[in-house]
Amino acid sequence: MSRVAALAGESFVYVVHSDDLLGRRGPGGAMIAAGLVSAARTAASEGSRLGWTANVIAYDEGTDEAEVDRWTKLMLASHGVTGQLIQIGPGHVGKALS
Amino acid sequence: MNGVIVVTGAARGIGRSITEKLTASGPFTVVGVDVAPELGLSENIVPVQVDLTAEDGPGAVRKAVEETGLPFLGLVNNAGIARDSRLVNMSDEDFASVIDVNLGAAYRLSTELAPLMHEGSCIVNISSRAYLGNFGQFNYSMSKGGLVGLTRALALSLAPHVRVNAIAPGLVGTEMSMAIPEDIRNKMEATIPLGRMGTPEEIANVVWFLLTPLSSYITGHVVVVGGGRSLS
Repeated sequence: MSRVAALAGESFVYVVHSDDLLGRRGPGGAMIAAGLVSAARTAASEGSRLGWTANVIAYDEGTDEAEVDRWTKLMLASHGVTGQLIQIGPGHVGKALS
Repeated sequence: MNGVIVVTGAARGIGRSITEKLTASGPFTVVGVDVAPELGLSENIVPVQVDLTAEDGPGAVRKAVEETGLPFLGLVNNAGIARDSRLVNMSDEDFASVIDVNLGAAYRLSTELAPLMHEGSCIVNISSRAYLGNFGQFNYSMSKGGLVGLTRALALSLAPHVRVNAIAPGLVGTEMSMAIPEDIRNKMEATIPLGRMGTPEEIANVVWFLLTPLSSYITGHVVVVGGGRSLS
């Protein structure tokens, strides 16, 4: 799907659960979430010359879906913000993703 | 205490340096995955040649560990491949093979060996600075980011008895790096604040730190060993 979007010159956003980013819900979700952050950063470096962007949104449990939708549309419309991880909710505070 | 540490991709490069460091510096027996018997790195190395992406691969490693009769102290998931291309040019086959070897095999082997682990055992996953993003390495970067995710999840699920950490090496003088055209390699080196590539031994030193009680209060962390390139 990412390749299809890139070939069409379209931006894309990966949406993941914050608990998966922190590894709290087991290896499967953690590997995918962290892998997608890396993929978005790499894609961002490739798309920046071509006019498309790649970003990641991580949301906390209980986050209003409308807020995720609003941020997704915002990221898709942006031309300058790319390779970013936007975390919706306070769940990441005090945690390290290093 | 003598014990067993499994190192994948142990025949060359970073894996070989890790194996040599462990056998030279401590009372360890290393089950070296991918090491051919005739290579004979050291008498403390048990060579195992298996395909870790095959269904019976991880089980064969477990059998080799159990046959030593020694306590299982650690696992270093080091084996990896690269099939570089830009996202728009990447084939499904290259994407899947890199994810399967670099990430899937590490997951399966960790799962297979986890029941053998006990108080003080450690896992070290060899990720890459590319997990921070690297042009032309969509599959490789994603696989190494996935390893970071695996590190976090295992650190939580195997605590408090087992510690799990990762290392993200930058440009290191291995066969893989030396295959990069010289002019490109020189440009890459010029972006490294410390002014040079790292050596496999410098990665092995950090593996040693993470596998031993020197790092007894560190788990779920990624150590970037890249001469400062993640900043430049």
